[in-house]
Amino acid sequence: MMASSSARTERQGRRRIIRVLLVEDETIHQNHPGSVVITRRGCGVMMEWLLQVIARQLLKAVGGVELDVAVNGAEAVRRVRERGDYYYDLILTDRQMPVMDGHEVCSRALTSCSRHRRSVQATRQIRAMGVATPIVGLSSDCLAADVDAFIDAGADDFVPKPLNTEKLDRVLTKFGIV
Amino acid sequence: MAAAALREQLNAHIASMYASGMVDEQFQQLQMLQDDGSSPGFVAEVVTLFCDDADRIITELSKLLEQPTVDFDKVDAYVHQLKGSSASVGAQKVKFTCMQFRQLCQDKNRDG
Repeated sequence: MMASSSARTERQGRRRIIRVLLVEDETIHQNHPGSVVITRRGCGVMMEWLLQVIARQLLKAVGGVELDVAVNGAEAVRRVRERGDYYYDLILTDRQMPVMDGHEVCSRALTSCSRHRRSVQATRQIRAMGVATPIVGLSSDCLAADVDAFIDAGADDFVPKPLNTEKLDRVLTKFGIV
Repeated sequence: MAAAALREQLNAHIASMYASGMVDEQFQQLQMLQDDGSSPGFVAEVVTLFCDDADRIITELSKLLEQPTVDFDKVDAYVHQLKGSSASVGAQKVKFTCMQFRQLCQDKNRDG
Protein backbone atom coordinates (compact mmCIF):
# COMPACT_ATOMS: atom_id res chain seq x y z
CA MET A 1 0.00 0.00 0.00
CA MET A 2 2.85 2.35 0.89
CA ALA A 3 4.67 1.43 -2.33
CA SER A 4 1.63 2.07 -4.54
CA SER A 5 0.92 5.36 -2.78
CA SER A 6 4.47 6.64 -3.31
CA ALA A 7 4.44 5.44 -6.90
CA ARG A 8 1.27 7.43 -7.47
CA THR A 9 2.80 10.51 -5.84
CA GLU A 10 5.87 10.20 -8.04
CA ARG A 11 3.67 9.86 -11.11
CA GLN A 12 1.69 12.91 -10.13
CA GLY A 13 4.85 14.89 -9.59
CA ARG A 14 6.08 14.43 -13.12
CA ARG A 15 2.77 14.60 -14.98
CA ARG A 16 0.28 17.32 -15.77
CA ILE A 17 -3.40 17.08 -14.84
CA ILE A 18 -5.35 14.56 -16.96
CA ARG A 19 -8.85 15.68 -17.92
CA VAL A 20 -11.45 13.03 -18.61
CA LEU A 21 -15.01 13.60 -19.81
CA LEU A 22 -17.46 10.88 -18.78
CA VAL A 23 -20.60 10.81 -20.93
CA GLU A 24 -23.51 9.12 -19.19
CA ASP A 25 -26.58 7.44 -20.60
CA GLU A 26 -29.46 9.88 -20.14
CA THR A 27 -31.90 7.02 -19.62
CA ILE A 28 -30.27 6.40 -16.26
CA HIS A 29 -31.32 9.89 -15.27
CA GLN A 30 -34.81 9.38 -16.66
CA ASN A 31 -35.17 6.26 -14.56
CA HIS A 32 -34.09 8.06 -11.41
CA PRO A 33 -36.27 11.14 -11.15
CA GLY A 34 -35.56 13.42 -8.27
CA SER A 35 -32.08 12.08 -7.60
CA VAL A 36 -29.60 14.90 -7.65
CA VAL A 37 -26.04 15.66 -6.82
CA ILE A 38 -23.79 18.56 -7.67
CA THR A 39 -20.95 17.58 -9.95
CA ARG A 40 -17.35 18.25 -9.20
CA ARG A 41 -17.37 21.53 -11.09
CA GLY A 42 -20.88 22.52 -10.05
CA CYS A 43 -21.95 22.30 -13.67
CA GLY A 44 -25.58 21.42 -13.60
CA VAL A 45 -27.43 18.99 -11.41
CA MET A 46 -27.38 15.31 -12.22
CA MET A 47 -27.46 11.96 -10.59
CA GLU A 48 -24.20 10.39 -9.61
CA TRP A 49 -24.66 6.79 -10.59
CA LEU A 50 -22.60 3.69 -10.14
CA LEU A 51 -20.36 4.13 -13.16
CA GLN A 52 -19.60 7.71 -12.23
CA VAL A 53 -18.84 6.74 -8.60
CA ILE A 54 -16.65 3.84 -9.69
CA ALA A 55 -15.02 5.83 -12.51
CA ARG A 56 -14.18 8.64 -10.09
CA GLN A 57 -12.53 6.17 -7.72
CA LEU A 58 -10.62 4.42 -10.50
CA LEU A 59 -9.38 7.73 -11.90
CA LYS A 60 -8.53 8.93 -8.40
CA ALA A 61 -6.36 5.86 -8.01
CA VAL A 62 -4.56 6.82 -11.22
CA GLY A 63 -3.84 10.18 -9.66
CA GLY A 64 -3.81 13.68 -11.11
CA VAL A 65 -7.13 13.35 -12.93
CA GLU A 66 -10.00 15.82 -13.22
CA LEU A 67 -13.34 14.26 -14.13
CA ASP A 68 -16.14 16.11 -15.92
CA VAL A 69 -19.52 14.47 -16.40
CA ALA A 70 -21.99 15.04 -19.24
CA VAL A 71 -25.48 13.65 -18.76
CA ASN A 72 -25.87 12.77 -22.43
CA GLY A 73 -24.24 12.98 -25.83
CA ALA A 74 -25.62 16.43 -26.62
CA GLU A 75 -24.13 17.88 -23.47
CA ALA A 76 -20.84 16.14 -24.25
CA VAL A 77 -20.76 17.82 -27.67
CA ARG A 78 -21.49 21.17 -26.06
CA ARG A 79 -18.72 20.79 -23.49
CA VAL A 80 -16.18 19.72 -26.10
CA ARG A 81 -17.18 22.63 -28.34
CA GLU A 82 -16.81 25.08 -25.47
CA ARG A 83 -13.51 23.69 -24.22
CA GLY A 84 -11.77 23.06 -27.53
CA ASP A 85 -9.87 20.15 -28.97
CA TYR A 86 -7.04 19.77 -26.52
CA TYR A 87 -8.86 20.32 -23.24
CA TYR A 88 -9.93 16.71 -22.60
CA ASP A 89 -7.39 13.93 -22.74
CA LEU A 90 -10.03 11.20 -22.92
CA ILE A 91 -13.77 10.88 -23.46
CA LEU A 92 -15.44 7.84 -21.90
CA THR A 93 -18.98 7.26 -23.03
CA ASP A 94 -21.31 4.97 -21.09
CA ARG A 95 -23.71 3.26 -23.38
CA GLN A 96 -26.68 1.16 -22.37
CA MET A 97 -26.75 -0.24 -25.86
CA PRO A 98 -29.86 -1.95 -27.15
CA VAL A 99 -29.77 -5.66 -27.76
CA MET A 100 -29.84 -6.14 -31.47
CA ASP A 101 -29.26 -9.46 -33.11
CA GLY A 102 -29.62 -10.26 -36.76
CA HIS A 103 -33.23 -11.27 -36.41
CA GLU A 104 -34.60 -8.37 -34.43
CA VAL A 105 -36.24 -5.48 -36.15
CA CYS A 106 -34.89 -2.18 -34.89
CA SER A 107 -38.35 -0.61 -34.83
CA ARG A 108 -39.30 -3.05 -32.06
CA ALA A 109 -37.08 -1.07 -29.69
CA LEU A 110 -37.32 2.39 -31.24
CA THR A 111 -36.46 4.16 -28.03
CA SER A 112 -33.31 2.09 -27.50
CA CYS A 113 -32.33 2.47 -31.15
CA SER A 114 -32.76 6.23 -30.98
CA ARG A 115 -30.58 6.41 -27.84
CA HIS A 116 -27.94 4.35 -29.57
CA ARG A 117 -28.16 6.58 -32.63
CA ARG A 118 -27.76 9.68 -30.45
CA SER A 119 -24.65 8.18 -28.92
CA VAL A 120 -23.17 7.50 -32.34
CA GLN A 121 -24.30 10.94 -33.54
CA ALA A 122 -22.54 12.65 -30.64
CA THR A 123 -19.32 10.86 -31.55
CA ARG A 124 -19.71 11.89 -35.19
CA GLN A 125 -20.35 15.50 -34.19
CA ILE A 126 -17.29 15.61 -31.98
CA ARG A 127 -15.16 14.23 -34.82
CA ALA A 128 -16.75 16.63 -37.30
CA MET A 129 -15.53 19.50 -35.11
CA GLY A 130 -12.02 18.26 -35.76
CA VAL A 131 -11.57 17.09 -32.20
CA ALA A 132 -9.02 14.33 -32.01
CA THR A 133 -9.50 13.44 -28.32
CA PRO A 134 -9.65 9.67 -27.90
CA ILE A 135 -13.24 8.47 -27.47
CA VAL A 136 -13.79 5.13 -25.76
CA GLY A 137 -17.17 3.46 -25.41
CA LEU A 138 -18.27 1.48 -22.37
CA SER A 139 -21.17 -0.93 -22.43
CA SER A 140 -22.31 -4.18 -20.90
CA ASP A 141 -23.47 -5.35 -24.32
CA CYS A 142 -20.76 -5.94 -26.87
CA LEU A 143 -22.56 -7.07 -29.98
CA ALA A 144 -20.33 -6.68 -33.02
CA ALA A 145 -22.89 -4.57 -34.88
CA ASP A 146 -23.13 -2.08 -32.01
CA VAL A 147 -19.37 -1.88 -31.57
CA ASP A 148 -18.79 -1.48 -35.32
CA ALA A 149 -21.30 1.35 -35.55
CA PHE A 150 -19.59 3.14 -32.70
CA ILE A 151 -16.10 2.70 -34.18
CA ASP A 152 -17.32 3.69 -37.66
CA ALA A 153 -18.65 6.93 -36.17
CA GLY A 154 -15.16 7.81 -34.99
CA ALA A 155 -14.71 6.19 -31.61
CA ASP A 156 -11.22 4.88 -30.99
CA ASP A 157 -11.87 1.91 -28.76
CA PHE A 158 -14.54 -0.02 -26.96
CA VAL A 159 -14.36 -1.46 -23.46
CA PRO A 160 -16.89 -3.97 -22.16
CA LYS A 161 -18.17 -3.27 -18.67
CA PRO A 162 -17.37 -3.51 -15.88
CA LEU A 163 -14.70 -0.84 -15.88
CA ASN A 164 -11.76 -1.80 -13.72
CA THR A 165 -8.16 -0.80 -13.05
CA GLU A 166 -6.73 -3.09 -15.69
CA LYS A 167 -9.04 -1.89 -18.47
CA LEU A 168 -8.57 1.76 -17.53
CA ASP A 169 -4.77 1.36 -17.44
CA ARG A 170 -4.88 -0.26 -20.87
CA VAL A 171 -6.89 2.63 -22.29
CA LEU A 172 -4.70 5.31 -20.71
CA THR A 173 -1.54 3.56 -21.91
CA LYS A 174 -2.88 2.89 -25.40
CA PHE A 175 -3.52 6.57 -26.01
CA GLY A 176 -0.34 7.74 -24.31
CA ILE A 177 -2.23 9.54 -21.57
CA VAL A 178 -0.01 8.08 -18.85
CA MET B 1 -11.15 -6.05 20.67
CA ALA B 2 -14.76 -5.72 19.58
CA ALA B 3 -13.69 -3.98 16.40
CA ALA B 4 -11.23 -6.78 15.64
CA ALA B 5 -13.93 -9.40 16.16
CA LEU B 6 -16.31 -7.53 13.89
CA ARG B 7 -13.60 -7.17 11.27
CA GLU B 8 -12.97 -10.91 11.44
CA GLN B 9 -16.68 -11.60 11.08
CA LEU B 10 -16.91 -9.29 8.09
CA ASN B 11 -13.90 -10.88 6.40
CA ALA B 12 -15.38 -14.34 6.92
CA HIS B 13 -18.66 -13.21 5.41
CA ILE B 14 -16.93 -11.70 2.40
CA ALA B 15 -14.86 -14.87 1.96
CA SER B 16 -18.04 -16.94 1.91
CA MET B 17 -19.54 -14.61 -0.71
CA TYR B 18 -16.54 -15.25 -2.95
CA ALA B 19 -16.64 -18.99 -2.26
CA SER B 20 -20.35 -19.23 -3.13
CA GLY B 21 -19.91 -17.22 -6.32
CA MET B 22 -22.07 -14.41 -5.05
CA VAL B 23 -19.34 -11.88 -5.88
CA ASP B 24 -16.49 -11.96 -8.38
CA GLU B 25 -13.18 -10.22 -9.08
CA GLN B 26 -14.94 -6.91 -9.79
CA PHE B 27 -15.94 -6.76 -6.10
CA GLN B 28 -12.30 -7.35 -5.28
CA GLN B 29 -11.48 -4.37 -7.50
CA LEU B 30 -13.81 -2.21 -5.43
CA GLN B 31 -12.21 -3.44 -2.21
CA MET B 32 -8.77 -2.61 -3.58
CA LEU B 33 -9.93 0.87 -4.56
CA GLN B 34 -11.04 1.41 -0.96
CA ASP B 35 -7.99 -0.13 0.62
CA ASP B 36 -5.64 2.71 -0.28
CA GLY B 37 -7.11 4.42 2.76
CA SER B 38 -8.38 7.61 1.15
CA SER B 39 -12.00 6.45 0.71
CA PRO B 40 -12.97 4.27 3.67
CA GLY B 41 -16.68 4.25 2.80
CA PHE B 42 -16.32 3.56 -0.92
CA VAL B 43 -17.49 -0.05 -0.97
CA ALA B 44 -20.42 0.71 1.32
CA GLU B 45 -21.41 3.65 -0.91
CA VAL B 46 -21.31 1.55 -4.07
CA VAL B 47 -23.16 -1.39 -2.55
CA THR B 48 -25.84 0.92 -1.14
CA LEU B 49 -26.32 2.59 -4.54
CA PHE B 50 -26.58 -0.80 -6.19
CA CYS B 51 -29.06 -2.21 -3.66
CA ASP B 52 -31.27 0.88 -3.86
CA ASP B 53 -31.39 0.73 -7.63
CA ALA B 54 -31.84 -3.05 -7.72
CA ASP B 55 -34.78 -2.68 -5.35
CA ARG B 56 -36.36 -0.10 -7.64
CA ILE B 57 -35.80 -2.19 -10.76
CA ILE B 58 -37.23 -5.34 -9.17
CA THR B 59 -40.32 -3.40 -8.13
CA GLU B 60 -40.78 -2.19 -11.71
CA LEU B 61 -40.21 -5.70 -13.07
CA SER B 62 -42.85 -7.11 -10.74
CA LYS B 63 -45.37 -4.57 -12.00
CA LEU B 64 -44.58 -5.32 -15.62
CA LEU B 65 -44.78 -9.06 -15.17
CA GLU B 66 -48.17 -8.79 -13.48
CA GLN B 67 -49.70 -7.21 -16.57
CA PRO B 68 -52.04 -9.38 -18.68
CA THR B 69 -49.81 -8.69 -21.66
CA VAL B 70 -46.16 -8.43 -20.73
CA ASP B 71 -44.08 -5.78 -22.48
CA PHE B 72 -40.93 -7.84 -22.85
CA ASP B 73 -39.00 -4.94 -24.36
CA LYS B 74 -39.48 -2.90 -21.20
CA VAL B 75 -38.69 -5.90 -19.01
CA ASP B 76 -35.54 -6.51 -21.02
CA ALA B 77 -34.49 -2.87 -20.72
CA TYR B 78 -34.75 -2.98 -16.93
CA VAL B 79 -32.95 -6.31 -16.70
CA HIS B 80 -30.23 -4.95 -18.99
CA GLN B 81 -29.75 -2.05 -16.61
CA LEU B 82 -29.58 -4.36 -13.60
CA LYS B 83 -27.11 -6.59 -15.40
CA GLY B 84 -24.82 -3.65 -16.09
CA SER B 85 -24.87 -2.34 -12.55
CA SER B 86 -24.50 -5.82 -11.00
CA ALA B 87 -21.45 -6.41 -13.21
CA SER B 88 -20.02 -3.06 -12.12
CA VAL B 89 -20.18 -3.99 -8.42
CA GLY B 90 -19.16 -7.60 -8.87
CA ALA B 91 -22.55 -9.09 -7.92
CA GLN B 92 -21.88 -12.18 -10.02
CA LYS B 93 -24.96 -14.23 -9.18
CA VAL B 94 -27.24 -11.29 -9.92
CA LYS B 95 -25.42 -10.72 -13.20
CA PHE B 96 -25.78 -14.37 -14.28
CA THR B 97 -29.44 -14.36 -13.28
CA CYS B 98 -29.98 -11.26 -15.39
CA MET B 99 -28.37 -12.99 -18.36
CA GLN B 100 -30.78 -15.91 -17.98
CA PHE B 101 -33.66 -13.49 -17.49
CA ARG B 102 -32.78 -11.69 -20.72
CA GLN B 103 -32.85 -14.95 -22.64
CA LEU B 104 -36.34 -15.59 -21.29
CA CYS B 105 -37.32 -12.11 -22.47
CA GLN B 106 -35.97 -12.92 -25.90
CA ASP B 107 -38.10 -16.07 -25.87
CA LYS B 108 -41.06 -14.11 -24.49
CA ASN B 109 -41.34 -16.68 -21.72
CA ARG B 110 -43.16 -15.13 -18.74
CA ASP B 111 -43.47 -18.42 -16.88
CA GLY B 112 -39.70 -18.94 -17.06
